[in-house]
Amino acid sequence: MSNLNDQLSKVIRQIESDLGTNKLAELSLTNLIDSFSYFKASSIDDFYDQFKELLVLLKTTKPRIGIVIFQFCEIWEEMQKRRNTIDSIDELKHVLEDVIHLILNQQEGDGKKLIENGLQCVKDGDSILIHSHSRTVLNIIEQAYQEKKKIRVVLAEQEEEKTHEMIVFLQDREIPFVVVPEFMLSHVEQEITKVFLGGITLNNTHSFITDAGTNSVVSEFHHAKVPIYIFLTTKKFSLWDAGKKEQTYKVTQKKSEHHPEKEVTYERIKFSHDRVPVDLLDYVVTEEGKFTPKEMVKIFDKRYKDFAEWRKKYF
Amino acid sequence: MLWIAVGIFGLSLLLFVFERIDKTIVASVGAVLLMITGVLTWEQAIDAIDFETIALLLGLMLTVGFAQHSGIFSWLNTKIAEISAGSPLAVFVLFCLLTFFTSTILNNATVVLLVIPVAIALSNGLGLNTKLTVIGIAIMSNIGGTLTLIGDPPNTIIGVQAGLSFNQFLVNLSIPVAVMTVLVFGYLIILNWKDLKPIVRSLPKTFISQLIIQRITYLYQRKKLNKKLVLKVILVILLTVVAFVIQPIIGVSVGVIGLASGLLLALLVMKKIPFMTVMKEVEWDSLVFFAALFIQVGALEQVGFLEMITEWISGFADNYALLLMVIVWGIGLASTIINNIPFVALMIPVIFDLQTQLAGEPHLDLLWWALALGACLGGNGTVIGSSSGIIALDLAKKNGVKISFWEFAKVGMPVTIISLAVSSVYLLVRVQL
Repeated sequence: MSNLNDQLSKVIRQIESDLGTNKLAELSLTNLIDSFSYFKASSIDDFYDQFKELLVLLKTTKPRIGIVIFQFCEIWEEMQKRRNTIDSIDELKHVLEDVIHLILNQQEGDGKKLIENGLQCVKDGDSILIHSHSRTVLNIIEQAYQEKKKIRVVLAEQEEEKTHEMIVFLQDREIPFVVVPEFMLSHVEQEITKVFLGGITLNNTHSFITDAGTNSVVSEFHHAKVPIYIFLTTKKFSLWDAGKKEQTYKVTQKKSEHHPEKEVTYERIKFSHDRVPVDLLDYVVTEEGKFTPKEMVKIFDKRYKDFAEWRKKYF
Repeated sequence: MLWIAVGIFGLSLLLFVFERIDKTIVASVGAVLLMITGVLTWEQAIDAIDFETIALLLGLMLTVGFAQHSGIFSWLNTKIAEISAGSPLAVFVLFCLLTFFTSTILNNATVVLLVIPVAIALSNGLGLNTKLTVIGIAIMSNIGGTLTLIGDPPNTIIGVQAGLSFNQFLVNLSIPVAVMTVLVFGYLIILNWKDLKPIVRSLPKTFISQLIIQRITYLYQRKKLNKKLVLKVILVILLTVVAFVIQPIIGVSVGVIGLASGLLLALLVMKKIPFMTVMKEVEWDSLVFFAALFIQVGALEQVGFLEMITEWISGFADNYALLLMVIVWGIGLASTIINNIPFVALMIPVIFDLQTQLAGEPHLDLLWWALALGACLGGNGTVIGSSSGIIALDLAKKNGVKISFWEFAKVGMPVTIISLAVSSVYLLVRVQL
């Protein structure tokens, strides 16, 4: 089980890093449909047992991805409701496919609303700094550009792969942009009017989990009093008790470099994500609207309370 | 002079085995020392280099380089990953088969270079036995490469120097290669059945495997395939294979065909893939290694050492079947620890001498097939036996999978014995016909 857990955690981290959380959530669902077509359960009970096993694995991945867990819990709820009415595995698979498509449609709808709300935050003359490898932020920029809003895009250079992905996205859509290394942003601070970030999740410590490096960007622009916006759907909320260190992982590498005169060896420490306290931000934008940090804390806490039963059941 | 030449060659072989110094440096220093010590003159050294082999390898490296940039290999690899649906057996068999077939028309070391990264990503992610996948791919690249003139460098050297055509390799080697492929596959699957069992009975495993395939597909297919570019690549590769097949009719040297293939592709795709990009990626060190090796073997010929070997082997000439067995097993077993390329380069003049001595024997061509089978298949015995084995293990190490010399040998030696046994039966049957 722990071996499977490591495998699942690793691939989830990789997909989240490559494609973002929304895409990971979508892929998990479409992938589940594919898996159903290959999976050969010995009986309906076996099907239920194995789905439960998968759910347990998803709940214990490192990091735990709220939106994915939530989706799978929804599917499990549906399975429980129909436990006594379905006779065959094929019928069960068919019903679950319909449920998955419903969730996918809902997710798509939430994503569209989030982009619409995000678009309201873009004004002519804005010089927007983007940093997170967030499809939502890129889609908002794309939409604004298509609507001929006069904006300037400044891309803060972070990890090479992620920055490259964002460059390719902007270039493919012929959106003009400039790239500034994230450690040199102080030189363009005065030119920036807004900072747009993507959030992976918001947890009960009232912190957003974001791409590594976001915290420094937020600190810098918070200090410079430049409005900072973060975008995520409410489905991404982590509605369980998050430990202090949960969701940021330390990776230590011993690196050696060959130099003509002397070999250099050192320890290099990397982290998977950053934790950004909500009060360092100015606005949190979800599919439900634009909120101040205080409003968002209230919304989150209410939802957290509403999910007490759910939490008791699944965590 | 004899002992200087033999000493330099022997020391070079020893250094190749221990791999403490880059093999190209070893071979080149040896070649230069032979000239400094007066064993060979500059002119003799240049004469000893087989430029046709070098041209063929250079041309094929260019072709493969352009093909790689077109994205066709990434596409092929991800398709295989998708088709496997994450089944361990399917991953193992499909990647091995892909390696086998592509190794027949492309240099097997290059094929390993292209296939291993995807196979490791999939195998690692799925929690499969990655070592087995890597070893299986290295082994199948050598067996596939054995089938054709252009599949494995020893065959290329044999084919060019002995004037054997692409078709002759196919006709003479397809039966033993087909039989040993089936047997080796069977052996590897039975040996590792516990790691290759189906996963479709487990939903979590199936789900994880599908997720990994999705990621691999994304990683390797981020850029859309340029269909025109891919079509040009496929067209040139097909043309090249056809040219090799009809080479005895058109009479153009295989070196020229190889060069023409690389340059035609360069012309067709120059707007999309800069020529210099691919030129920089040519394995120049390997080409220099071959050239230096030819010089070293030329020196051994010059000082009469090859004649001595020929005389020793001629001791078996009374019994032609026994002679073939000595060649196939001798070369095969030696190739398990000595990189097969220098060994083949050394043996070619010996085979020519034997043919002269045995004039009148009806099956003289079998000497070449015994040499090709022994050299290519012996390379599977240990990791240092073939360049594809070395490349496979280097790539595995880079991807966090360490395979020791003995781990490879534990699988590779039985495979070599099976392959050489099949080759022996085949050669003995051919002698009787």
